[in-house]
Amino acid sequence: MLGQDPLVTDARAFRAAIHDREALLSTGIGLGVAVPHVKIRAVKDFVIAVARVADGLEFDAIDRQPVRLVFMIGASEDQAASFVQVLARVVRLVKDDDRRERLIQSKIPDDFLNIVRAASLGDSSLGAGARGTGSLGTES
Amino acid sequence: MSQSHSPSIPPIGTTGRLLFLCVLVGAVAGVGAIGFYWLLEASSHFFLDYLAGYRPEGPAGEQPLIPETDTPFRPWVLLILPAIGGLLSGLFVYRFAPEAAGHGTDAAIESYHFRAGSVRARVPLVKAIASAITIGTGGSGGREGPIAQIGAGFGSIIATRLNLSRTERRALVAAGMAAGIGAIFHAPLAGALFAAEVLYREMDLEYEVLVPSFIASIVAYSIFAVKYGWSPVFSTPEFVFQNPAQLLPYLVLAVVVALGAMVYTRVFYGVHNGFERLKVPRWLKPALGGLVVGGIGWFVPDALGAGYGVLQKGFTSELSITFLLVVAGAKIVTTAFSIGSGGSGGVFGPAVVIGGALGGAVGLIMQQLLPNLGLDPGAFVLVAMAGFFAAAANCPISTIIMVSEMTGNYHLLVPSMFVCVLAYLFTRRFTLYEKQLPSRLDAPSKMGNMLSAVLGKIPIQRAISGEENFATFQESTGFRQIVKTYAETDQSCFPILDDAGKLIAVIHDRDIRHVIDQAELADLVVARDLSRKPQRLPADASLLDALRHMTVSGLDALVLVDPGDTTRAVGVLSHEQLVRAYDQEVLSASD
Repeated sequence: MLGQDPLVTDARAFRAAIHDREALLSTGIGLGVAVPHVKIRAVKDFVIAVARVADGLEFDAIDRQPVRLVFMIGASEDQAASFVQVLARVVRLVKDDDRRERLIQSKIPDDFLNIVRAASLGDSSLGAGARGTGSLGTES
Repeated sequence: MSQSHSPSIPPIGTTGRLLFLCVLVGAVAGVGAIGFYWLLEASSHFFLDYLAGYRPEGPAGEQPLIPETDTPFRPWVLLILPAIGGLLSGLFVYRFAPEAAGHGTDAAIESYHFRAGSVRARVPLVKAIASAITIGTGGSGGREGPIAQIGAGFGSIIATRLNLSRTERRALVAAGMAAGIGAIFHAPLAGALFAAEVLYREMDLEYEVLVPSFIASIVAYSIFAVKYGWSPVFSTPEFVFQNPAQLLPYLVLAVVVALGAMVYTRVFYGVHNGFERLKVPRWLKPALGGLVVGGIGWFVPDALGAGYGVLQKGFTSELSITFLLVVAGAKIVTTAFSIGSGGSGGVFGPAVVIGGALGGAVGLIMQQLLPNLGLDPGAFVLVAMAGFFAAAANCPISTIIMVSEMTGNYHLLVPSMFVCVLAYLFTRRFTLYEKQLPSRLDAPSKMGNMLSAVLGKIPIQRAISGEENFATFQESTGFRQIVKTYAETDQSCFPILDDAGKLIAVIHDRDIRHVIDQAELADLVVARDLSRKPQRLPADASLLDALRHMTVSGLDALVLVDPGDTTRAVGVLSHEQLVRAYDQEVLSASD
């Protein structure tokens, strides 16, 4: 999905970097959530894709639980300062059990974004009209 | 035999080019001085001689260029002439080049210190014409200010045309100033020293402009003298100093000229500031000043114009104590109203006349009080000329030489040195030149050079001495470990090494600081997520190189690498360490 985004100039390099980063430390943070991320020259600005995995995905998460919600984040190399801030916001977003479950259950992208906005986190990192692009997909 | 080439000495080609340009500046300034002197003479001839029938005596070394007229003396014309001159000068200056108003030396000093030696091309011509009008109509002003600004302007124009550096432009501006003064006062050595000394208020000298100033001054003086003669400006008797006891009355003279210089400066700037506040069009102010000058000139004509004739008579003790004191007082006021109102002219010429008049009066009094010391009041005139200006302008060295060259008399160097130094020390808080800086340490052009010179001499190793050990991370180092290490060290940046120990990235402390309280990152973030490309600097570089790297990158820490293998990190340097090393170097070099 992100490979087709115009802000990603080299999809293959992006994919390789995601795998490379996972090799350092799994980004499965537990609670059924993973946040694979990479800061790379092949990305011109923040890009975020969200995927719901109905059956769960083995991700080598720290709690060994399958992952049902994936936030994939890309940033350019010169966004070092804000990159980690975005990661922190995503983690805070999914820490709340009720909200996390609603995000997993949301049927259309607008529902998902409304939950994000309601959490007052829908600014530069996740919300509509944010810098970069957001995508929501479903995988079964 | 080996030759070394110091990096602080410019290549011979650069120096040669600059010195050649000094010859050019000297030639242009010499021709400019000839033109300016002729303008002054022509203006005085037309206004004072032809219109007013007033023909003040000049110094013995300068003969009138134009035959005198037979116009009878008309005091009422003399009464209004300075106002007319002020009006013409004001209209002309404020229409074409307002910076040419007032006394030009300060403008040249300002250009040197604060405008990188930049002078508009039109200024020399406007200054020459405006000064000729002001002085030629009886305004009390000297030639040094105008010719300093004119010469400096020539230097600046040549530097601009040739697209020279700021340093070279400043050198040519100073050379132009020296050339103009050296030529018009028949004082090439003093002109060069003056240009280097007048820039600072304290005991300091712009030594790097001395050689350019000497060259330009020699050329300009030679050209001027070929046209107008090689004689000194004044002709003086053979004064001698052969009795140390004479230093006692010279001590009194030093006190008197110091007090006089303080009064001169206070009155000048009191009037100047008054005119600044006056709510009338600025082009009208020189005319208003001229009215006051004309009124004083009605009673004391010798307080008008250059006034050098008074000095010439003073050398031979032809004037009374009362007359000398009146001229000194009146000249202080006429100068303040002529130039302080915005008229165009210098303050050196009036200063030596005021000083000389005071000196003549002191000499006559001392001669009566101490008849056995063999005092010559004429010698007091000469010494006081130097002492007064040394005190007023904080230029003791060049003034001693200036007066000696102007009079062709070097027999009074000892009392001149004595009086000049004492008077200068008495009045260090006063100066006629507001744009003078206290010392080279205060010069904007020097600060950057001094900082660079100091930093360029400090090796990085000295800055990190005692702090050679440093922490590093691997790309997989977790967030908790990063925060823990950050808390335990003072490092500003942390190199990230690969498995082979090669430098691949760096984490800066500010990137950790931004997220240090976000515990939720503990299981998600590793060193790679916080990393940036490393700014590498060879460990054998200087702190100046380090500062440049930091400035360009906007970062306040650098990774130091092996000069032979830039993938091997050997240390880190923070901005704080850089500043500390600089402070230590400066403090160790200070008293």
